[in-house]
Amino acid sequence: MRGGTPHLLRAALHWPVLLPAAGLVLLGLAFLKSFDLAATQAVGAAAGCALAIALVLVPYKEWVAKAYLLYAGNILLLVLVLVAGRVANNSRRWLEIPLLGQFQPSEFMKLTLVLTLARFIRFKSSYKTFKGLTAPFLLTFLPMALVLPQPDLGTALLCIPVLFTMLFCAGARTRHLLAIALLGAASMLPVYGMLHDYQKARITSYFATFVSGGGEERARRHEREGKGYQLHQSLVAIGSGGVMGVGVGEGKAHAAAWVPERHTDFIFAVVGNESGFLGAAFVLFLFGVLLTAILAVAWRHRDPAGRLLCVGVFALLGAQAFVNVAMTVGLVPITGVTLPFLSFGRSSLVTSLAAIGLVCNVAARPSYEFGRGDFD
Amino acid sequence: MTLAYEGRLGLLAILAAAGLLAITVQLLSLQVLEQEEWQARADALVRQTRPVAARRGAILDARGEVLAEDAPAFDLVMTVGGMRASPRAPGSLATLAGMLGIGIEELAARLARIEEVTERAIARELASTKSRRREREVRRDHEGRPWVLAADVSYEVAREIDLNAERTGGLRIAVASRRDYPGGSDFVHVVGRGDTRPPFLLEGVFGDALTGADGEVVLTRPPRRLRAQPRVVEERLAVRGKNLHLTIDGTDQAIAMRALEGVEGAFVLIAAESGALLALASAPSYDPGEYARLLQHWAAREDERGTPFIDRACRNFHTPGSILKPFTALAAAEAGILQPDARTECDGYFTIDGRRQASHRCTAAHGALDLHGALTHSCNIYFQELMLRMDFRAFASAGRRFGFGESTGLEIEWQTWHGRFPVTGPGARSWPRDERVPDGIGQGTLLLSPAQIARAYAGLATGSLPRLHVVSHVGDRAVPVRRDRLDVPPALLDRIRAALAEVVRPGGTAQGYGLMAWPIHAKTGTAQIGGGLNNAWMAGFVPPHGGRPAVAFAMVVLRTPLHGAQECGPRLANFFRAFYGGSSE
Repeated sequence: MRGGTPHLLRAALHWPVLLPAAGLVLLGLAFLKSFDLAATQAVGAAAGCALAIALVLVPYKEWVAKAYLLYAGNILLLVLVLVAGRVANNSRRWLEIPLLGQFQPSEFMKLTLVLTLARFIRFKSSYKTFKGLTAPFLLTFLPMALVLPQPDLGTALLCIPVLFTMLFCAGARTRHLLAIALLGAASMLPVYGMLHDYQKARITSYFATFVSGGGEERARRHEREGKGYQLHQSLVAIGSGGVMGVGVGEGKAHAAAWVPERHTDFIFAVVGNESGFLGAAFVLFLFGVLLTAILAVAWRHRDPAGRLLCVGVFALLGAQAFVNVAMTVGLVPITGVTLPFLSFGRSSLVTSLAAIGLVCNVAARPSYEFGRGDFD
Repeated sequence: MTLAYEGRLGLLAILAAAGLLAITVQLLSLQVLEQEEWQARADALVRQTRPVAARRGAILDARGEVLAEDAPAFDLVMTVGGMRASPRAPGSLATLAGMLGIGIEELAARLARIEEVTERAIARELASTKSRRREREVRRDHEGRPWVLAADVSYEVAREIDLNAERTGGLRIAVASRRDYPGGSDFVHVVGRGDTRPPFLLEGVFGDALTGADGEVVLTRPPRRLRAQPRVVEERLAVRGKNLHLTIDGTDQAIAMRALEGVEGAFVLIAAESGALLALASAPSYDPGEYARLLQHWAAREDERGTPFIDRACRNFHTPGSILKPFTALAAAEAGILQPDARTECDGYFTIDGRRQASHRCTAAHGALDLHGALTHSCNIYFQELMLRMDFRAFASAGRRFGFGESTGLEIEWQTWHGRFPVTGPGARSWPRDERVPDGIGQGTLLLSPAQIARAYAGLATGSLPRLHVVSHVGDRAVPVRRDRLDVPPALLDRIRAALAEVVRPGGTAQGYGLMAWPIHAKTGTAQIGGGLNNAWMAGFVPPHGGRPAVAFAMVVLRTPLHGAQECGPRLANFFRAFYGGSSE
């Protein structure tokens, strides 16, 4: 490419995407400082940046071209997790690499899935038929089937909005997608029976607390019995933050300290507690800016693969952020997903930054290729 | 209709915006509209309040000597969790039992009891849940609660435990507060105790003033896993209780107690003008530190005679005997039948309708006596004759005016019954007729307390009836003094006083006990209570003397074979000798 690596990197500095992402990472470090985890997270951020740069240096089309290979490799890792993964908190999600530490293949699987679906969909039109949807669904269900037994319901469920969004933007018929969504919803009843007790409890506590009649008393009972404990503590932390919050870094002395998994799944409760409504709204604003910027790249780009990558990353980050924040504020049941860029966890952060790297990769390489039909 | 690619992206953008809006609305609801409610829950969650007990006010005598005060004490405290986490070395139970001065079986039983109570409380709280998390929390909470294994251990034991804290199986020393009573048994019937439930006597009556206001420290409560130190969020200082200043001088009280050595009885000394209590002795008494042990001992006995817990001075009532006679004379004057100079013949027997009453004999055949002589010799016949002719309502009215059957006003007199004395007005008619004549000489069924008698004699001394009080100041606030003027002819009062002055002189009933050394105006009394036993009385007053104000007194020795003067004369002489420091007329 003209100008070599420095020019490429300069072109990849797509500020509308990078600035909000960097802001979110920095905010994450600030909020994790309360719990003495900022240094570890900074290492993850550095690794994520390095991976993003590495991703930018290679044209995204080459990554898309290697997607099946990456997919197969990730599937193998997921199988390996089930066989020899490290168990923590009753979950088998991590693989230990000597000297490098542990990582979570399911996190990388999300990005690999985006690449794989982009590769599969980009020049096809089969997904416009009902039958043609089978392949992309199978590509999605296979990693889901491997992630669910870990168990990691949240990560597994995130694959679905990614698939639906990419298919929808690629031009799949809306009625087909809606029919499948309804079918999927109907099949949830038998799936509910297969869930773990703690997963069922999260769903029932959600409905007990906020949906069903006489909720207050039932919520109290669930609180006593420990079923809605996480949600209750999260709401206490966020609600007590008020408009201005208790002060960034002061969480140890306030309700944020009593939120279970406050540094991972419930980091937004810490944000709400320490920085109040203003801080929480600012985080949402940054997510809004970031998602809009990614959509804008997808809008401007002409290459179907580039478009699909951006849309896939948009769906991945958007769905993950929405589900995480919505569960933290009690709008949806607790599913156990991390908040991109802010939650503690190197695998999650590296994956999120790598996704940003992919978007910058697309933004740095304007394309003049033309697609067909709806996807023109 | 099929949407174009841009349209689909637009729809995605709208969906994302809707999602963000929904979350923002929920945040607004939680953090702005419901903030107070969640803040209250957060406060309950993240704050711990530690009470800071206020020091109880001290009780001081008239010279400022401490009679009761809070003092630091060492409690041996344990937690079930601590005990389980650090099992004791073999033999350490025996060592600990030895240090505490109890048997090893008793110590083991105490530990087992604490464990049992803790387990029961945990089971009760977990009855409605199967949550493991909840179980862990409840268990941690209950097993971390401190239990006092032994209260008020000695300094040596406390030091030993403290120095070996790591090897004593979860035991630690907590500095607590103990109520000390330097006033001891001399003051127990006035001061009472503040560490019983409920506190009694002054400790109970002035409980609110003495208690003060507890303070509290509000601290943060960081989860144990964070290893953060709690921080002080708010501090409210404890306000120490107010001190009570008494009217009693500890030295006078001590000599009053000595005056009753070896007998069951009471002695009350008051300032005749103000009604301030100067001494209140009730014998037998007890050491406040022995309260619990003595309580068990006396609870096992059905007969209350001799129990040290009864205050015989102001909350126990006795047949008054002849010390009532001056008031019978005043009642006769009120009824208009007393002629102080008129003489009544006493041949040793009381005669009704020409018939001698065998059961109403006088102490001697006194011959013809006027009021002065009748009081000096304590002639029963003179006063029985008065009672026979008197309207009983006048007797009731005069007695009530001098405070018989009424509250003396003493703060520690918290009972509602104030002895047995006829009520005034038409109600007096219901008093049994056959009791009326003996009641005139205090031998009937009347029951009065020494405090009531002393107060009535203060009335004779000053012409007004003071309200008794033992507390002069609550903190800095002085307790007001109250007196009620008595409507008694001054000339008659003078004649009675003159007669009472003769009682301790040659020819009087209390002659020969050395009481002439002071200007004592007194009356002796012997109430026969059967079995050859008497309640021996002596009551009276002393005008201002030896730098002391006018005082009134009443002494009773219960269940004694001796007469009033025989029993009380020498005791009072000893008392006044010490009280006036040897000064005499």
